[in-house]
Amino acid sequence: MASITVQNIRKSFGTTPVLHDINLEIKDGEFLSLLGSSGCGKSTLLRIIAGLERESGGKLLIGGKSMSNISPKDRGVSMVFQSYALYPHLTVFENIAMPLIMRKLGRLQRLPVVGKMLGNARTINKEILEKVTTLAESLDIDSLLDRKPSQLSGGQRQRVALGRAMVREPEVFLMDEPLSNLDSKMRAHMRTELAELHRSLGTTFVYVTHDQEEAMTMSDRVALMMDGEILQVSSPREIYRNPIHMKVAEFIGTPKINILPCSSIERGVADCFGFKIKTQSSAKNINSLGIRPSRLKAQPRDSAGCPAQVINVEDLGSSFLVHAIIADSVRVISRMDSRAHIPVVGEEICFTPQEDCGIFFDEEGWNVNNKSSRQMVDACQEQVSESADRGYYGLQPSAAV
Amino acid sequence: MVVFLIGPVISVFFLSFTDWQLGEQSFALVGFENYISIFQDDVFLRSIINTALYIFMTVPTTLILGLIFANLIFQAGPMRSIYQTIYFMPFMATAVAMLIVWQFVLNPTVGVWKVVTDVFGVEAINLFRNERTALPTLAFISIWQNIGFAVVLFIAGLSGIPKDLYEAGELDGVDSAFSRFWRITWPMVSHVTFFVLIMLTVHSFQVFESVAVLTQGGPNDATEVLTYTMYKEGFDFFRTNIASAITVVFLLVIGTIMIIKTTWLEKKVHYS
Repeated sequence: MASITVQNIRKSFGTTPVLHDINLEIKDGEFLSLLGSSGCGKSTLLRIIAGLERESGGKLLIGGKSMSNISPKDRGVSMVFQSYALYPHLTVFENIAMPLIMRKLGRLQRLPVVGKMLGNARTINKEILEKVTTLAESLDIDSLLDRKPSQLSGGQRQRVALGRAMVREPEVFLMDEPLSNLDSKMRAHMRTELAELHRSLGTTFVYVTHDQEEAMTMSDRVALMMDGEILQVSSPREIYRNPIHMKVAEFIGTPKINILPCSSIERGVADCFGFKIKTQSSAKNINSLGIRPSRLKAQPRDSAGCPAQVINVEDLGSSFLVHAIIADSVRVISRMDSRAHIPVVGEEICFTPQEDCGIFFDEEGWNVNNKSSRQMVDACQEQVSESADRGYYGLQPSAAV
Repeated sequence: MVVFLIGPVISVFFLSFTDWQLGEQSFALVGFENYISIFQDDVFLRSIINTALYIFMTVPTTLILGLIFANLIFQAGPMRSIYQTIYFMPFMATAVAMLIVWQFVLNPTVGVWKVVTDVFGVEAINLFRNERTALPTLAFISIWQNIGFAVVLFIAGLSGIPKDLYEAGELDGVDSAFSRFWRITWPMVSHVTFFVLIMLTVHSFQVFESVAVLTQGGPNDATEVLTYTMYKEGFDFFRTNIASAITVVFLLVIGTIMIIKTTWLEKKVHYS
């Protein structure tokens, strides 16, 4: 097991900068996800950690040791690739055994036929056989050992790739979108398995994904990357509830957070389309309000709030998404419980941002309330769990924040 | 297909069991007599041995050099397509024109060959008129001509290997040039290797132009190959029956190679 320290890592491809001064501390045994949209540099960072890509500047330490000029195989890392990168000409057994064959057997002992007779090759081969068989049993692929990768399903290939990564007991597991080639059912299943695997191995996991659901459900911490920079590194709960920047708030959460223009009118109070809302902050430079769809209550037209007109309603089964437009300019989404009264398209309603659940941003998009918003989030949570209000357009209290 | 392929094959097969010679009005069935006579003929046997030797000299060398050059060109970056074109040019060029150029190049009195031997202070022998050098020289020209074909196919095969495999290899310890080649590249281009092997073998088996243009089977039958014997029997001596029997033998060998290709070896070769 090992911690990873990324210090001022920079990377450019030609004149195009891909990573700008990345600093990141990954703790020993931690499951950290690098989350971001495609092209944000997350895979490049992972490849730099693996040693497959050379950094243009900065320093990388794994287990406290500098990794400059250390080849990928000597870094104590294993990687699961998006495509699995299984050797198509080898059987499942040979695929999993490859890291051991290349490490434990000498150059001559690896020769076909003759190699088996040299030195203690027989003993080593027996050890490899035992180890691979035991591992295959634990991954439930022991019946597939003689097959070629082309004869396996996506999920089975995934397990073989995991087996190949696990077989040499690395200090760090690196995973580059390993679930993206699976169907959604299999993906959900493998997500649980990966999380369990991490718990049982206790090894450091660095997991690259563009799928926030994967990052949020499996990770101890999420590092959100955008345009070659890490915007925020926090626990999934923190990054969702207390985003440091509007970009983070917009990236995390489905449907996307609503951003409404607003301005501070007096200390601790902001105005949003005529609706006065408490800011829990003395900051005066408030420029916008971020409110999650599940925290935007749809009320009858005569209630206090921002007047809006419904333009679309989506039925998701357990809930409804009400799309509306406020003041003919700002589109918003509200998630409503399926048992509540659902407005129809064209209906004039009023949206009320739930008190204490708003996130306020300044002109540059930074969260004005970042330091104190933790308390605000907790307060919000408490209020929600106590609330039993299912009145007109009421929200299901247990709906996600 | 019946008119241009099956029909001619059936008539050749039929003619090989007759005594018909070009221009004759009648013929009689003679059974296996033509076959017995060709297998007792020294020239025919010599041509079989020469063809086999020629294949043995050209195919492995073209294959190995093709694979080496393909690997080098594949890593050449932006210059890749230029090198590829240069190597492929001899294969595209008109065979007879190229052979005439080689005749001049290897001419012992006025050719480049004379210049080269002068540098080393040895006498320039006539490579096409020496029993020991004639066939190897033809083999050399064939290698020069066909290497581009192998290179182009190998490059196509190499570009089909996912980069991920080499990266996975780097982490697994497959990171030296040799182990990369032995454990990833070579198995991943095995299907191309097999295809090139079959095509080169068939191509070498059909060697004709270089013999006809440069040596006419000589000296002393040293370059007498199957197709040239066939041509001579049929169009110089007008013994159509004998030429047909040789053609049938030729077709049987080609057919056998193709059967090996489609049944036995293809199963053993990895297709990703």
